[in-house]
Amino acid sequence: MSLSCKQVQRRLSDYNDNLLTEGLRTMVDCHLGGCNFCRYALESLVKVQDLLQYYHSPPLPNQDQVFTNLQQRIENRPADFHWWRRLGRVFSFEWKLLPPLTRYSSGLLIFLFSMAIFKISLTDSTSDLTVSSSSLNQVSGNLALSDPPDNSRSLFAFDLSTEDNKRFDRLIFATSQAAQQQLGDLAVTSQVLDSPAVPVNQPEGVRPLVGEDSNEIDFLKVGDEVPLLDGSEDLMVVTTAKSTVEPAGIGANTSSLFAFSYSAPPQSRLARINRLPEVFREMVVPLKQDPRRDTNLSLSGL
Amino acid sequence: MERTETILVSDLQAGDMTALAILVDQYQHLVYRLAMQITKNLDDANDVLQDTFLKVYDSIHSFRQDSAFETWLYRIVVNLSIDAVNRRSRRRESLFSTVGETAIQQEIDPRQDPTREAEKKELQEWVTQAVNSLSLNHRTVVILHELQGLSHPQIADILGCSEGTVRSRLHYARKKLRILLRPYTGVACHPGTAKSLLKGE
Repeated sequence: MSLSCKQVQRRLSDYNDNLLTEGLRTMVDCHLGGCNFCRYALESLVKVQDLLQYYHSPPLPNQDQVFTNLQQRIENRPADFHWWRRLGRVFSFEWKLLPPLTRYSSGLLIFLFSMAIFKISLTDSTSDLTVSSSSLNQVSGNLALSDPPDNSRSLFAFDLSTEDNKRFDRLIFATSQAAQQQLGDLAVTSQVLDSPAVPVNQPEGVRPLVGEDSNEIDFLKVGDEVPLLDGSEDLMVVTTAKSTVEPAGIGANTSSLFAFSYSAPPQSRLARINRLPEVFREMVVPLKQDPRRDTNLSLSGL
Repeated sequence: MERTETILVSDLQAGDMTALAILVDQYQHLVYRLAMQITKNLDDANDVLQDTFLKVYDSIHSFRQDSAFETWLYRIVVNLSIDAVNRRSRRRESLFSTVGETAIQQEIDPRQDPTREAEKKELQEWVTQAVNSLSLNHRTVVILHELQGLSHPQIADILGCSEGTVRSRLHYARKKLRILLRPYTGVACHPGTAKSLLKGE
């Protein structure tokens, strides 16, 4: 079998470096014997090698200064550099000697480990999703949980006297439903009352607004009977109800109260943000921007 | 007593600075020449020269004597030079600097025949420009093989690639050089091809 010019040209470089097998070399020799074009190509290749001796690179200037400069650089380095050097020596490892699979697996493990560290660093167990209302804080000093559970809680109340608020009520109801669907462990409690959410002038030792279950929130009206928390079976009858807000601020006899709580609080800030339903976030923004409503909702802990 | 390379490396690993001085003295020309050939820039070559020996000093503890010190040194120089070229090209600065006529002119000996010297200078310029117009990968292989005389396995080891890659790069680099140097090799080539190749297109 004889080689074509193209095949020979492709092998000329290896031929010149004596890298061809004996058989292939013989075939190239055979071709070169009868092909002027390839023979000239080989000759030019040899000439190129000869010509490369003329490749010029300037000589090293100030050769006596090289070591002096190097010594100065070594001495002028910061004192703690040697500490870094020792550390670097620990990590100096011939990674290229490892098989590719081991190398890539090690890289992947290091990446995953770094991500785990990053996630742990973001973990914040001190607070959770909380939606608070400044007006509610005024209204309900007693509405706030005196002994809040570990999971998060958000409370807000508003009157339903205006169309805006009614629309908001529908919105928040739909939102809470959506939130519940998205987050299985999000408990949503809502209650529409015949009367405003009125905090009571509660006696000391009484926690009338919160039942045993932290997700249940009751409203007290005048005449309600409240068990004392001291363990006795005596009931206390609410005789007075005092509102800290102006009646004009309530404006109607209907209030709506929502309570959101996570039964299993997300572990980290990132997870909390990701698990916060989109609709819920959208809900909060218009509330902040609505000057007519005195519910200044804010997301804290995010 | 003259210390061998192995002893010098061992001494340097023990913190002997005179061993470093001897190694610098032995290899500084080689390092500078190689850095100059790859980077084609005087400033970069000087930086690579300093950084190479600094790296030798810092990393000598990780050097195991089962391979040749020179090969290890080559690897450092080539890697630092390639880094320098890439850094410079990222900054969009010209790769062609003072490695040309001024340096060549300094070497012309006035006592020699002027015509012959002029021809030699022209040839040097032509060959230097031809090699410099090669891509970084091709140029590095040509320099290591043709100018430094390293074998294919050595080059593959230094560049961290296969021998086949080295051979392939060498083949294409030589092919390009044959065209670029055709006035001296006599290979037929379309003038436009050589012109565009010289421009680095």
